Amino acid sequence: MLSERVERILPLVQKPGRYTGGELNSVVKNASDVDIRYAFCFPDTYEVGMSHLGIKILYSLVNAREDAWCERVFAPWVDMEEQMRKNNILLYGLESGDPIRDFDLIGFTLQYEMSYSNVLNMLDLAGLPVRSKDRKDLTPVVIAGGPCVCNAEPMADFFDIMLPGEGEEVTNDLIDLLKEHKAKGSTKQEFLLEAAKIKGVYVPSLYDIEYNEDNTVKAIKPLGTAPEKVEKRIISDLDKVYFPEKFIVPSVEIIHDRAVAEIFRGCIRGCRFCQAGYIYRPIREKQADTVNRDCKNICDSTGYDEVSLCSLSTSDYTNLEELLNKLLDWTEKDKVNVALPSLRADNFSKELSQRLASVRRSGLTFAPEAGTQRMRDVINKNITEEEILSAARKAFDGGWTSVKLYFMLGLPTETDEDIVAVAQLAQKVVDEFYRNPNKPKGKSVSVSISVAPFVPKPFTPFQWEAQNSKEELLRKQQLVISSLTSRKISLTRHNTDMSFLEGVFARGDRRLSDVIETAWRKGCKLDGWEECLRLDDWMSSFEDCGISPEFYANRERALDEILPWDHLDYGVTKSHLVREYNKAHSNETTPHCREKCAGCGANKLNGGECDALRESAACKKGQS
Amino acid sequence: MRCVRVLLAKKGRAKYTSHLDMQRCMMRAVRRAGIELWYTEGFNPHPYVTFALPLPLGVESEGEPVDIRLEGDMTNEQVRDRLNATMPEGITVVSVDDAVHKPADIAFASYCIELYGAPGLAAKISDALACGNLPAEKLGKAGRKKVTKQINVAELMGEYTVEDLGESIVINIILAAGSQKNASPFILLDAISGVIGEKPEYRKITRKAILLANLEKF
Ligand code: SF4
Repeated sequence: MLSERVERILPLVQKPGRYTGGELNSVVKNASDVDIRYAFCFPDTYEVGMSHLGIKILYSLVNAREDAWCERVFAPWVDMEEQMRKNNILLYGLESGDPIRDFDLIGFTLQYEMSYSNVLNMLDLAGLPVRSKDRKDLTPVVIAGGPCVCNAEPMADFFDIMLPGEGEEVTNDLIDLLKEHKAKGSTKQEFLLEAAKIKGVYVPSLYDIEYNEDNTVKAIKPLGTAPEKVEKRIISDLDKVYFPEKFIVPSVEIIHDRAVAEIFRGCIRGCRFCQAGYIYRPIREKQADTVNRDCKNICDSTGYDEVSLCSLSTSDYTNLEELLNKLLDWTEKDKVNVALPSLRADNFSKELSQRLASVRRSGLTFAPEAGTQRMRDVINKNITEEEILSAARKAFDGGWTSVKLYFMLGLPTETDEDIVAVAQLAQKVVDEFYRNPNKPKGKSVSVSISVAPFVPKPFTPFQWEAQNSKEELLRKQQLVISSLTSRKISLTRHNTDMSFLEGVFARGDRRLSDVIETAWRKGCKLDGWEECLRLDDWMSSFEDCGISPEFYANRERALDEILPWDHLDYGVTKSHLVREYNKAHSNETTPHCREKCAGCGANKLNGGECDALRESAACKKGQS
Repeated sequence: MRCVRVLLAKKGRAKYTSHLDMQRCMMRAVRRAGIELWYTEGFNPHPYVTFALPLPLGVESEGEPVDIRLEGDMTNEQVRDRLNATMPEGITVVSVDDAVHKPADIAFASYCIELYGAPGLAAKISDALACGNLPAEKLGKAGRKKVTKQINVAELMGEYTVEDLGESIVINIILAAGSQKNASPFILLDAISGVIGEKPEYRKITRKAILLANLEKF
């Protein structure tokens, strides 16, 4: 249902199919039949947002309710925004074409810090004030979810509500409550106070933050009945949780255009740099039959010819063999490819990979993350050089000629020796190729290494660390380059400006809200797109607000400092993180969760249950 | 294996689905419909789903031919009905037939171009269409390089009519189509605006039919 005004600007923009809606399996309801209209906003482009699994789940979940209608909204690209502003077209939901300003709930998913300015831009395009306090009416309630919510304090002034944790249940709770308060004619404040009583609902405006002279946080004080700590919500039983039978099939190509099913949440590995590995705990697996059913449903309803399994460290799924056998039963017949995105080198099996077309096609990727064993011990990436080389050997034996290696630069305790070792490890992989007697004739090897700046994140053992300065990172990048000894090795570097800003916002506090608004008013948006990022405007905005970005990114915190996210409880205890921090600094590793539970504390969110815990106990019992 | 020619109507929002995306869309529709596709042999088997003539983005159509190679013994009517049950909004299967002509035999396409009306605009357009010289620039390739070629759209036009309805102006026109000579309605509009010195804004463009050299339907 496109208005003629929108139709008139579509011929003037790139890829207009992103702005039309009407895709197969999108849900259209009668607006007058529902009580709650929900705009699910992804603060990035259609192609990025539509590739995301969370939006597919929550979209279907809300639309499964008769009393609510969920629509999708994405950030328009620069050309579309220009036309919308010129023609006074307000940001609209793709399903109805109606302005989202009139909706009841506007929900953003915060997947990465660099999308923050897009949130402001989208609220503004919708014709709404960007600050929570300037939106006086009960509706629309502007909420946020997604991994960044574990510390979205820099966005605290813009959102009415944040939802730490998993969204499936709390979304429904919130819709129920809003429906009730809409009927009662409550004020926004009345509603927010009630909402804060729901488990897993965080209302930033109900917390007062005091600061010390040195700019660190002095106290976080809940107001009124708001809880001292907001505990994240989790789904206890993933076999019973809602999963869609249908995905929307986009009419324009998106980044991951395929069926996706989730196999487990959490991660057993405990890599100390990895936020996802900590904030999604405890570990909960789905049964193979559940996943198999999900995959089949989605493929049948979409016609996709590829299905991908989604999780961290996919090969740690205990039912992987069983699942693959079940999947391959029908996918081979239906000509559907099965993709496993995150295989680890240490349990990569040739038999498995040969049955998986995606591995055949894309070549092999390994993530040693660091060049020396010492450095890998510090970050608890429990993989040895021999394991990496033997995996490469197997790969070359199987006929592959290209390998991708992922590394990080700027890790805690890193020395130049660790950095030079990155290049050396890449060289050893090249040597492995030439040492192989069965190497394909007349073919040469290509090893591409990617070095990404390390950004310390909340709720990891490195949350207290100083991030390397831009200058230091550039120097380290140069050091890798000058240490390369073969033309068979190519290097991809990440944008250090972006990592710097990411680092500022990842561990920032709510005083940064002013900076974000200032920068956005100067025209900053789509900062995750290198061609759009304007660091100068960001830097001048920090200055205008009298805030030093280095204070957030490049400062080492004391272990007893109050952190801006201390009032959020993601299950993993601070004492566990401190323990891991100390082990990191004495080059000590921690075994993964199936070998031994490290006592992270996340299982308390699930009544003491953790799938890895059960298995490690069972496995010990079996041994004795 | 057999080859069927599916004729697709593409209306409304579906017109913003590009040629490449249409191919993907069609492939998925066939899979959803449970119609058995034929696949090439070899390491990386792929199906055969080919549109006879690309349709420019933003243009609607009453019948886009797409050739599909099938296995199994479904009748043409079954193929049509099963596809229609699962097509995205705006796309319908008009017919499914055995392919008769070769795509190389395509020579023309007829279009209906509806413009936003303006006083005197219809007359200017009629004059331009009649003047015999409608220069336009066309992007082409010389080897691997991209080059712009000068063409005269008047040489790529067949019969046409121009109607002034006040609110809108309707041009019905036959344009060259196919791999040899081809003129899109957009290049025609560019050429017209070059001659009359103003850019007419279109409301809707529809490809009515794809034609053979003798102007019979493809
Ligand atoms: S509770 Fe134990 S087994 Fe479970 S995630 Fe935490 S450390 Fe690992």
